[in-house]
Amino acid sequence: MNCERANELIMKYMDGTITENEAIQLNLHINECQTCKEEFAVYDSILEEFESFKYVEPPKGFDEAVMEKIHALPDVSYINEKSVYRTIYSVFTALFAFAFFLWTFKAPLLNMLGKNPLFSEKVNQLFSVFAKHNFAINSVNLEINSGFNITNMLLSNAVAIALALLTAFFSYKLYRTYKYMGRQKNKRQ
Amino acid sequence: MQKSDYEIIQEILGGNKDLFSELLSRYKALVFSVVLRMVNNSEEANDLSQEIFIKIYKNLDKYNNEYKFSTWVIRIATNHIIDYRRKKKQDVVSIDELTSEPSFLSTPESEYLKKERKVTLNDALKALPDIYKVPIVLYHQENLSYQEIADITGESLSKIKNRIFRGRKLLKDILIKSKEGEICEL
Repeated sequence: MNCERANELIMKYMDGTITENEAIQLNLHINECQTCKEEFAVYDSILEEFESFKYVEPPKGFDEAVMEKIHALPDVSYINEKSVYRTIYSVFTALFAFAFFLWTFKAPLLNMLGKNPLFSEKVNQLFSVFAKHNFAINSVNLEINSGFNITNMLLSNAVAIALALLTAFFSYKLYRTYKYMGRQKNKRQ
Repeated sequence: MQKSDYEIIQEILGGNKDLFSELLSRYKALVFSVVLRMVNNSEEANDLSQEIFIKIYKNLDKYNNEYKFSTWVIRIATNHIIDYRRKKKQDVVSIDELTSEPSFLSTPESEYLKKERKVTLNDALKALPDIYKVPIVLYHQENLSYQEIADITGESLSKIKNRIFRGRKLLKDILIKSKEGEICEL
């Protein structure tokens, strides 16, 4: 074994990861090489010294001094970031889910509202907007209507798909926040 | 039943300032010991430790429970010491200065030798530049893993490993040099 390898093994010894076989090899080398023997002795004394280091308590009055300074501080305002995110994600999930529901069931909903004299005028105006929208989509449909076409399907449902994706995204974020908080709670117990 | 660190932190964040004294009593020895290994005297260590606890208090809401609280505390402590030293631009004690330090008063020989050796390692540590000293102290004194030290210092694992190896070599060289110095003096 050369001195370089011996040095590697000394480092493993310092890390406490040296194997029995490596320790035997190192021992053989140290018995033959005076330089490595001396170095090993110093390293070993460093290790021993660190093990004997004890925790040192700070001088008397330390706690009081810190607490006094803390009480003298203006109130620190802590904002719990996690709960802020949770609120944002819940609001957005609910909002997009509701919009998705409205968009998907717009026809029966508008029909139902149209029957109510209070809303009928507004509903009729909206109907014309939707009629235009549907016309636009239908014309797109006609242009590309060559059998089953996935683009065709996606285009005609673009709004619904976008809303569904947004709902899914925010509910996933919300789920992650809850999972994270749950993990923290478990850790505490 | 004793409250966990996290429960205490939540209560402090909820407005119970006084409960911080509980965290203080749990971690003051840890902080003070780490600081004491890195600065030159206990008065300086006392002031720095106080500042570190104020910092901990102010940043308590940023503590991420995925790490141990003690790891987070050590991170704040080491960063604070490094910042402090940068500001102070304190020169590292040279090896020559160390070896010429006066020795201790007479005690029984074995006790004397033991003490002498301890003082030398302690001083050798202080002569190490921060980039080696911080990982060495955290590894050997606080028994943190390479990964934990990498997390605390924001350095890569391989860098930390190299610095610990290099730091140990430097320590060894300082100690050997100081021993040779003793022999020369005799």
